[in-house]
Amino acid sequence: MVEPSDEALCGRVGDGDEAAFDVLVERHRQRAFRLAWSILRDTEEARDLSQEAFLRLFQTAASFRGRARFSTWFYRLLVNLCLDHRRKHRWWHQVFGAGEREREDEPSLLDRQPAAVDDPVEAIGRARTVARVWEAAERLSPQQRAVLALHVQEELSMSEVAAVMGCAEATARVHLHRALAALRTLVRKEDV
Amino acid sequence: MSRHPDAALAGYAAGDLAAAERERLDAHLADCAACRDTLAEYRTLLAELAATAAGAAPADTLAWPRYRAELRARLAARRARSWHARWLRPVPVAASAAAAAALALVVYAALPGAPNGELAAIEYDGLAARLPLIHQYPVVEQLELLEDLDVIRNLDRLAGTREG
Repeated sequence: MVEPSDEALCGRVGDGDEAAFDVLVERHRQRAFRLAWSILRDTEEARDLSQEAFLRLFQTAASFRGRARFSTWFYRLLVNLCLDHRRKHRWWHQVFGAGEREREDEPSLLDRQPAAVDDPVEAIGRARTVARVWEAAERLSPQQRAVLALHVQEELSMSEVAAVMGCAEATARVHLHRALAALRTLVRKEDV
Repeated sequence: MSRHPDAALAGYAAGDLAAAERERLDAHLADCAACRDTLAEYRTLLAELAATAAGAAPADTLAWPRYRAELRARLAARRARSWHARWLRPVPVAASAAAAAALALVVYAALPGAPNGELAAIEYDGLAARLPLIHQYPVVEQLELLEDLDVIRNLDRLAGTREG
């Protein structure tokens, strides 16, 4: 049996079909959480805002016209929510420190890296390097993190990234350039 | 404008440049060692990030049934709130206004001398019966309008006093 497309499901959600809503949520919740976390760097906030995005989806599904892909439309909703949230709570993060509030029961970024398969020593060294790069990404602006996450994690092309961010492709490239330039500087500093 | 096409380099590293733009950039890269280095570093960074993107963010560990229940509860609360906003929010305003108006009426009616419909009609009939007493005009003309109904009501006695 052919699985219904996201766009078809979204149309049914627009008619109040809660079963279609459940399918969409189950399909996208991990990606939504991951993307929200990449922008917010906080587990609780990422869960809260990814759920909020699904609630908005339920409420506004009828306005989805199918001109864009469902994922572009939905991730735009989610990214806007996360960026708005970060703007509103900027003072809080400035006062109490930006970035993930590490929890004791949560594995560190290094622990989350894939297990070594070939040369364990080389693999550990590589995992450390990469963990360092991702940790440096915490110091980027939320917009820069959003562009990186969309392109690198969600594997969207830059034109798709621009569509999700609601900006011109040239602007998305500028965000990417600034993110990469900042990462390069941070990584170089740590190498010294 | 920057001498180095930085944003285009990021697009190039991301593999997302149109053919014409790529050709222009290739021509620039042939003469610019700094941009070649930048491009190489951007590519390395993106490759490192992409290779480990899966492990970069934690997974949402909340089990699906609990996640679904949480989402359903929030959706129900949202619906209840929007129903309340649509139907009940104007009610307190209207109810408050009605209650205030009713209270004002009660207080006003309870005030001594306030015009009460029935009482006012009786007073009017009583006064009408005494119209002939208007010959005491010098007294009446000194009264402020509706100043003292008692005086008017007792004009006959006043007349008797004067006469007596």
